[in-house]
Amino acid sequence: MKTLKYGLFTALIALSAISCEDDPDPVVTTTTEEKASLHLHIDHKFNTDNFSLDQNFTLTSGEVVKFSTAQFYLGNYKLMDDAQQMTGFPDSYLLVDPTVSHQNIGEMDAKHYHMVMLNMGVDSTTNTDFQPIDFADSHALAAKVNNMWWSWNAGYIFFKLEGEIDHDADGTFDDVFEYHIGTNANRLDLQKMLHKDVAAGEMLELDLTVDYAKFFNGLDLSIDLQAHMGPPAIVASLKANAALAFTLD
Amino acid sequence: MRIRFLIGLALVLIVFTQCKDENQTVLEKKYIFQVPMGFSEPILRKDNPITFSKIALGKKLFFDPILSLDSSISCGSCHRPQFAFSDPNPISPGVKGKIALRNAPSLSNLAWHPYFFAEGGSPNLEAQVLGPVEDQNEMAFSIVKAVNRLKDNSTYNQLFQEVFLDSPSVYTTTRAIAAFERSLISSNSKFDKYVLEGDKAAFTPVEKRGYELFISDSLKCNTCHSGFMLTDFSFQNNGIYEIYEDPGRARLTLNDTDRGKFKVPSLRNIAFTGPYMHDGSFKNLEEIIDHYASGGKNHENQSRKIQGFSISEEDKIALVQFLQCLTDSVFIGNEVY
Repeated sequence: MKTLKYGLFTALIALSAISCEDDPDPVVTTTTEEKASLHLHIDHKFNTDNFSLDQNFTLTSGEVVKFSTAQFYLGNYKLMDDAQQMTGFPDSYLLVDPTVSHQNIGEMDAKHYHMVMLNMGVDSTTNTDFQPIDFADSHALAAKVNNMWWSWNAGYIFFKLEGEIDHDADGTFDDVFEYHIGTNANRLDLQKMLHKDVAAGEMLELDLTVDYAKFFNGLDLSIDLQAHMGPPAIVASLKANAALAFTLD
Repeated sequence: MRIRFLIGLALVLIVFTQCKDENQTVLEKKYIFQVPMGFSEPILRKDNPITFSKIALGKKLFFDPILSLDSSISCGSCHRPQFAFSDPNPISPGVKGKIALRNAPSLSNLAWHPYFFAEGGSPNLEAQVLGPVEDQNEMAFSIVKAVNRLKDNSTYNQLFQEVFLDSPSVYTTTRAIAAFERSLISSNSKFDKYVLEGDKAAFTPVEKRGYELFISDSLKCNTCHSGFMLTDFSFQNNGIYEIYEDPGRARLTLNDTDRGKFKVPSLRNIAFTGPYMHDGSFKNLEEIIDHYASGGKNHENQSRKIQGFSISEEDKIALVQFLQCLTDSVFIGNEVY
């Protein structure tokens, strides 16, 4: 009986092993000790103040703004070594709002790195070929309640800023602003020279500062209140302002 | 003996539970996408194979107001089967008395559409589902919140498990609706029989005269309304206004030369899809013919194909009768859909 039980147990194990040929091969993992890791810290600011939603901030014009939404995509991280070999971090997209202050991006070989690059926005292949409906609900690029896409148009909204403006700072908000910027032409490429040897087990830390005050540079807030794909002039200003708002250290 | 039976049962159960998806899909009758005579190969997605159960689930979702903010309207509220999945309202009402942006288009043969919406911004049927669900003037909801409602619904949970072996999600919901929409095939009109199947007895002499006018050098209707879909899917400003409130394709391209341009619609089942044009401003087929005969309002982006023509009342009747030959009476109001 004992032999029979053992034989059947073996048969069950063997059957379970061969019955689903599509089961993925076991992933060979490298221990963390052999790898280095990449980490991002995000500092949300409004000029020198800490930034948060639903808080009043005063622009240099004297106008008061309050944000109800401020979110953007970060991703497409790449580390380049001196031989211009790239280390990518697939699936590293993150939807950032003011409550998000860090991201563990992934692991990489321990070696000398020359430069780090990333996108504020979504890379052109993903932005062109995929839609929020193509991702599992838990994915950063999946559909969200506070959506980051135009439902009538393909492609992601790269950054979305919404809120209210009190033009004369009398305590009453007069207008709402809505800036939804996307399309491949408006992706922001961020990069930083590293020139750094990264040892096994070491965490390479990046610091990203987002200064939300910079988004309003040069806008006439009496009229430049909305941007949804267009109008081109406001979109161009916001793209230029995004380059000022994001600082990678 | 008893233990051998139990062990055998256990072995069978292990095989079935480990390969649940493979065995369940095998049990369902295979859906074969029938390409009608004269049609090209459809645009199908490998990540969304069509099954009968998926079509049934998509149909249930299509006609269920659960996807709208206040559960008052469904896709089928504006795309009504008895009107070839269009709406007799010039502009369809959305939730809470809101009015949609444009006339609801007829839905048929969507597997052959290269893009969706009048400005052409949505690349496929799956992505298109987000449009009406999230448009603030239509269903005004969030697709994520809509899916959460489905997750809270035991019937839908069971159906999604049966179809996808998974719970409702944005991925599965959009694929179910898209599968249903792809199954809406209309290919049983007199036009199909005469033009695509070569049945020269399908048209009456008057209808044949109408068809000859349709493709004539003077009217040139078929320069845009061409092929088996009766559209070339181009974007045209057909000159119905001097000033367009709706930017049309310029909404997408931000290019002024695209202002007032809209995707050329298929004319299939046109006798049932009025009122016409992007804003439902033309009530009947005669008004359309009169417009094109007039040569349009000469908007700066107006298509040069619209030059105007003269047409007798007799020929106008013939042209209308030909347009009525685009009706697929098997498709209109078919309960299968």
